[in-house]
Amino acid sequence: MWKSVRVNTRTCSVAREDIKDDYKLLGGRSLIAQFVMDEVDPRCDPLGRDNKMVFCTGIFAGTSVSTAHRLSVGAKSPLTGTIKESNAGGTGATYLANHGIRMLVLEDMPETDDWKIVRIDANSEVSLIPAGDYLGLDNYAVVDKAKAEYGDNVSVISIGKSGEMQYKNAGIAVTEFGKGHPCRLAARGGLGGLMGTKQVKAIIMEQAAQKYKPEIADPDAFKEKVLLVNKAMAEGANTSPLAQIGTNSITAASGPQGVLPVKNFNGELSKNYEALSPTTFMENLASRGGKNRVGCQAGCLVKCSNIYHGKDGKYLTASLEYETIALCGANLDINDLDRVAEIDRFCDEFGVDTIEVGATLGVIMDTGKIAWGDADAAMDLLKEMEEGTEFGRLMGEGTEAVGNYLGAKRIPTVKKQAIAGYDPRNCKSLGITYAMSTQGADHTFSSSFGAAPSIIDNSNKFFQPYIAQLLANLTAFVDSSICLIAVGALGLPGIELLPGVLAAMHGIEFTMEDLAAYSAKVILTERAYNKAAGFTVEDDKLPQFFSDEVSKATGAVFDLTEEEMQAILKFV
Amino acid sequence: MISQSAPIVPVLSGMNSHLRVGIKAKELGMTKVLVVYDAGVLNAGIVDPVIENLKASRIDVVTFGKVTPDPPDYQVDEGGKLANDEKVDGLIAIGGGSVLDCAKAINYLTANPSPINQWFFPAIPQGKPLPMIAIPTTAGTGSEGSFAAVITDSATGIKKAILDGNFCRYSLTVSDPLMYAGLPAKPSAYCAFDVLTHSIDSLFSAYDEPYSHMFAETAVRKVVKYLPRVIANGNDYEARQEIAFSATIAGNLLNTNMAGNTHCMGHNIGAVFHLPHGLAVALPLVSLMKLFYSKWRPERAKLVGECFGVHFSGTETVEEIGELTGNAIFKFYKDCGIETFSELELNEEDLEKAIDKMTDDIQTPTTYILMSRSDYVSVIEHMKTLR
Repeated sequence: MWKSVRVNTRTCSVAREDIKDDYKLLGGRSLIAQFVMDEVDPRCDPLGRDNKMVFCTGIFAGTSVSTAHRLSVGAKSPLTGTIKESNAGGTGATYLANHGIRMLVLEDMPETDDWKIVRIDANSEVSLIPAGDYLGLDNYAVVDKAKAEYGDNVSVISIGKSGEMQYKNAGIAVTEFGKGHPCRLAARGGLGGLMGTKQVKAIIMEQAAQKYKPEIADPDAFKEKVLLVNKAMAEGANTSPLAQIGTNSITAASGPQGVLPVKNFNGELSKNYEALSPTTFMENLASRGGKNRVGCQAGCLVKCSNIYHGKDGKYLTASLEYETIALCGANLDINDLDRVAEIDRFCDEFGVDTIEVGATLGVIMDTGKIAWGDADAAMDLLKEMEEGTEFGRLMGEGTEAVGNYLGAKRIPTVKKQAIAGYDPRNCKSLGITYAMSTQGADHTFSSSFGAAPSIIDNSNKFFQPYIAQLLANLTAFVDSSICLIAVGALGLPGIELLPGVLAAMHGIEFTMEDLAAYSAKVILTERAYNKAAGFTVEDDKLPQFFSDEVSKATGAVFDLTEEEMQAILKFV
Repeated sequence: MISQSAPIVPVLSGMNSHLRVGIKAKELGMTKVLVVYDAGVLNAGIVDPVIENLKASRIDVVTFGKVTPDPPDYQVDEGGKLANDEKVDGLIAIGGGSVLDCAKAINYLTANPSPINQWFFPAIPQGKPLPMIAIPTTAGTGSEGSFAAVITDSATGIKKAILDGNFCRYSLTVSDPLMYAGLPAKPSAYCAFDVLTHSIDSLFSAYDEPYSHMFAETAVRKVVKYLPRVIANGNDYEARQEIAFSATIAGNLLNTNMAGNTHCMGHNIGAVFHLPHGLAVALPLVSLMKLFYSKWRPERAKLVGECFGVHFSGTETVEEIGELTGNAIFKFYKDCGIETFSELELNEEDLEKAIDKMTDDIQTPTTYILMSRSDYVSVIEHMKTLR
């Protein structure tokens, strides 16, 4: 039986019990939707004692389904005020699963200044230990210290100083499989800041001496179905650019189509996307000793991650991804992968969301406070954020707060969360997604760039609501089970192999129709929660400038109506 | 009768569609283009944003901005040489009929030897044409949709045609109302009457092909509905877009049904008296309708009348149909501020010279029932009475 571990951060009690019956088929995002709905008051102050955060594994955790070990973190978001599910790869979910833990909850809030670490030892015992000298360390230093103390095979889920400072752009770092760099972040929505209010610096796990094996109702059928999925994933990975290059393969298409954001989403075609392109990226890796084809979790057959070295040939950062390159690179007119890698490293150390940070810097540059393309000035501002100067603390509040303070006219956020690396005028399905996502502007709610057939013009609204809905309706299930990038390798036909796995695991009927219903339920639960939290259709809107300002790359404006957008979440 | 439609030039239309030229040029495989335009569109500020947009899509740009109205053959030869020297792999034409025609002729010379005047119709060019994009700025000659171009033979001063379904065919028309909005009311009206005459003539053409019929009727209705709005407000973008589309489809129908007697007359009146083309072809329309077109095909004359708002009871004679339709056209004509023939006070002697050429015009072979010189004289006499 999977376990639920509940840590009360005020009383320091640790309770361990079987997972609720109701939660048996839930994992990852679906579990978070239900848990937050059940236990977190939608009207609570997200940085107050009534917010709870849950770390959980997916529905296939503990099995050999490839990419089954994403870690999902959920709560009411300090940044958006909506429900939030933020996920990351790395070793965290694998270790939790091996310890038999489906969900680990941090609730309440300490009344003293004491900081703790949640320790899970080789015997799967969960305890709270003083954070001691871990406090005040950034994520890489936390991991180095944990390795020194517990050995190289330790798994660390941690917050950097940003989380200690309760920043709303703070994320939660997870050590990557292999080298253990803390480069996988559950970045969005300020959950690192929430962990900071609970005064928990990290969850440090040793490898389980006795690995938990989940009960499988029909082992033979299960084995067969898993083999089909893994085979399809491996085959897909052979040809998918997401696997063969990494997520930065997206730049090759987004650049020329005017989807790659330029200068705070001004709608131009980037004048130098070549410098950020997959070609340049691969050349840098090859010539400096870095590599791609890195799997961030054990057993991954897609291996989309990378290790990036600087010009000096030394390690600079890991997991340099498209969103970072888009928001901290093209969006800032910093058309230099090395400078972007530097920003990426800083963000992983300090523990902040590169999308939010990139959007914040873009708004700042747009007001003229620092110049476009000035990576040095950008790094200086990031250091202010780290030091906690007055402006630095404001940056920690997120893009919208900074934009409002500076009187910016163009603030690219929805529900206070920054939009991702796709200009919504030129990929309208993503514009719809940013507006309608239950998580605030979150491209992964329905990551549709490249999903429509190539004859479709994504800067025309035709077909866009359909593809936004299709992907949203699959993604909620994916976020509860495997990795979204793996779906990129599997393709939409490959997803049809997943219901069979769940069916065999639990000895139930589970078809694609059931998958759609499962996904719909997750989204509708999230919507209901947000409604109870005070959100209305007025909040499901993009910033006005996307409708008013013509994109010079294509002549398009964002022109989806409220009715057209709301229709995508009408599942019944 | 058995007829065949011609390929239709694809149209990318909408506000700010000119900002997609770069992406579209790339889709067509262009990497280095010759941008053809004239001083007028350059000064109107239309050319630079298009060049900027092409360059943003990493397309190299070579410019040829020397086009003059009724482009002479040596201008085409110069453009062709530039295109070949620079090894361009695409052509972008921004402007009215003269520019669009000049670019078509330049296309010939990228695969066929110069000078262009050896390629006047009926010569057939060989080889593979370059892809071309038209960005029309007048609505208009419809050159963006037609497979012919008019080039002046400098040796004789006579306008000649080149005609080819490959070398004269634009791969794409970009129809952006912003490109048309700068044209003042009077020239806009003249250009729209070119659309009307293409369309109405084609309904009385010997070649009676159904797509062209559909285009003609649509174009007439749209011009009647939207031209007054354009005259009232040049920035009525919806109206500009509708007339632009009408011009383009009226250009397409030139590939099958062709224009007719308004052009036989208008070409030559226009040439002798240096009148704008749109005005020259508009002048004979009412009289031709009353005296000839309505007799050739009364049902079509009725259809045209209906497009101009005439309500027929169904009991009218052929003459009455001609009168009602002709009067409706004349009223529209005057409401649009177009000068009447009598107001122009054209010199009789020169008029005779124009009439001499009407039976031997480019469009003469394609007219429905051949008109004699005296037939044309009767039309002119009728035109003089219109007030």
